[in-house]
Amino acid sequence: MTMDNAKVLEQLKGEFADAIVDDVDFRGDLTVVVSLEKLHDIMLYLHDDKALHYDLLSDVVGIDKMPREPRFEVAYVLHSMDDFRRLLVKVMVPIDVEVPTVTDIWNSANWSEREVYDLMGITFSDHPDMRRLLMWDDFDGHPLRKDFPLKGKDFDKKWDPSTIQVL
Amino acid sequence: MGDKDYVLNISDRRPEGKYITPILKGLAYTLKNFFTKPITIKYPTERREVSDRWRGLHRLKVDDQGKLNCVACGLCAKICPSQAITIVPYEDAGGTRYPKEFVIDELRCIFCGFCQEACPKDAIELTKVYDFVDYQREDFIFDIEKLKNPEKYIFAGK
Amino acid sequence: MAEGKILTINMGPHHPATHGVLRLVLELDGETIVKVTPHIGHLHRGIEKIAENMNYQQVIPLTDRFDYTAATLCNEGYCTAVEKLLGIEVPKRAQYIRVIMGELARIMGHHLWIGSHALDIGAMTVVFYTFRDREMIMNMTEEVSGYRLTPSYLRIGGIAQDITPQFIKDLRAFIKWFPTALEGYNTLLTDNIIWRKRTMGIGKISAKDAINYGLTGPSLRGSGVAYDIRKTMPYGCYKDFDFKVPVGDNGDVYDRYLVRMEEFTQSLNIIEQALENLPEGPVNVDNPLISNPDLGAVQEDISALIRRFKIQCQGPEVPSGEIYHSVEGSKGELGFYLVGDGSENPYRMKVRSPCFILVSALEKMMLGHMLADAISVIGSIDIVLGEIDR
Repeated sequence: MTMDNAKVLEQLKGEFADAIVDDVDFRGDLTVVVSLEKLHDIMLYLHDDKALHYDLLSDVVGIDKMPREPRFEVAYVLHSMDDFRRLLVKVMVPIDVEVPTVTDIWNSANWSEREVYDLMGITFSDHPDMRRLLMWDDFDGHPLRKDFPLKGKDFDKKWDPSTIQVL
Repeated sequence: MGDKDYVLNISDRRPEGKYITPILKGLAYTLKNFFTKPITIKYPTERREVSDRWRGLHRLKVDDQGKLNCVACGLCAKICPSQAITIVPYEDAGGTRYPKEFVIDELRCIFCGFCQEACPKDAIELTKVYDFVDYQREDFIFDIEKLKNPEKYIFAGK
Repeated sequence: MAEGKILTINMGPHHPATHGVLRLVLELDGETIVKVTPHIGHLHRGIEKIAENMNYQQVIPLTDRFDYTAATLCNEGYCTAVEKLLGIEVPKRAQYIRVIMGELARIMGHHLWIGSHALDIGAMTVVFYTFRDREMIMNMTEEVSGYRLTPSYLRIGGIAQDITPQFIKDLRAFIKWFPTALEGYNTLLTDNIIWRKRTMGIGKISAKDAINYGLTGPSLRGSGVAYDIRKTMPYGCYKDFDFKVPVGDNGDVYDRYLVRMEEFTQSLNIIEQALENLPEGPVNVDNPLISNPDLGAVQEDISALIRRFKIQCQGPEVPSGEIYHSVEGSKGELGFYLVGDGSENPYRMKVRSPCFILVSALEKMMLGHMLADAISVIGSIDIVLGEIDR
């Protein structure tokens, strides 16, 4: 059975009527905006349901829409390996609010969420290993936030050799 | 998943048995190649001809009277992804614009060729000069005089 | 070493078999791997942040630096993503040339993979033959784009310049020559007992696990899932070509090797078809808001001059919207999540790098194997650190 965007949306709306905030069909890809509270349930449903069965989580994207409230967006790119559909699930995240992790559903979310945490500063609750990934451990700030300057905070600061810690 | 007609299963190509002969075949292949003509060249005494579209050192083109084509519009400096170009414009008494300073930092440059593509006066081009060496970092900051004749900086070897 | 003690060793970031600056902290029980912790970020250049401060055209040279072994495919991924956001269709000829250059880049990437993979395991000879053939492709890339490794050949709405007769001549010679070269690689590796012992049954991952860990590309196809974006979600003109998607059954290093070896043939097959059916026509989209007017028109016509200034200063006029677009890179699904806000810069560009996810699955593939097998597993997933760290 092939599923198209309309059918996917219909089924999703039937199951989680009050949790679907918005839906956009742009250039052939369906984006569903869901509420933060229901995110984990919806993701689990998308993965486990026989008809939908989105079993590949390609990417987790953090977006900073700075002056707006809620400030952040987290987008999940899902693919189904049955008939190769694509679905984008998006959730709005206010600053300092944790997003439930989906690492227990897709293992590939592990590093993707760590990257979002590292570069965007969105924390995921119940994540097994919430550490920085690309930047070093004592780095201050989150580089991809819009209020982070392009050249970095300490771009002009002279390097101080006394800061080296010998392990 | 496996019922699509474009799928080609290759796991039947896994060999079994065969121990010594494949190794001998491989050795024979190597031995055969031992007698072919080498494809390497002895740089820098031998140099290979690069393509006409090669993106090497920049040249500022001049017209018949030795004047620069450039009118210092700044389009190349705007499109440059690595911000390697600095231009200071100058207007003479006749109202014609020239660059007073035109500096390219060749160490910043990534040789993408966007400046050549953007230029509306066909005033800048990337030449075939691909190896240029010098002693100081300052020597790689090219001004108008250096940019007029980049061929001077070809590394000729010892 | 005393019984039951765990030895922790650092592999990398300078280890030659990690293909760059990947650092693995391996915990060993005897010679068996019990824990793998990859550390990445040594090559992090913040490309996504830089891209937010550039216009859409200036980002193209940055995309070369993701997967520098197959740079044209990254160009293609980015340019097709912007075109999807713009909602335009590229002329047929440009699409065919993109396919030719993209498949050549894929072959180039696989050349580096098989050369270094075999070199890491101990078969030193192969790398010389692959680099000999890689050189031919580099020369062809140089002929059309002017650069060898980072061509920046594609543009939004088309390509930089049309191909030359010399390129077509070289390409025909390459198509004629390459099956012989491929036969040579096969002679050296496929049946070789040492190669088989080092790769068969190593780094096994089942189809279900592979999907769950987010593997894509040849690594996923080696486990038996025929997920190739060129077939499953065709972009560009890949619908026009007849080619097969090789899959394996066992999901070990040897199957991934076989899959990639077959992809050489399939890529060559696509190039051959594209060259035979290469249509005539323009190579850039005919849209005054996107394509750069040519020099002749600019010097004659004031409106063309104004247009060139506008396009070069601000880039194409991209509407606001969010899209995800992915292409089949040489390592897997190379995706671009682009957010446009109607201004001249991308508001947000996120790259879905296949190698990034592949490295996160390393532990799954390595556990329980010997230390020496770690090298085979790293080689088989074909990582490029420029793409992981971005």
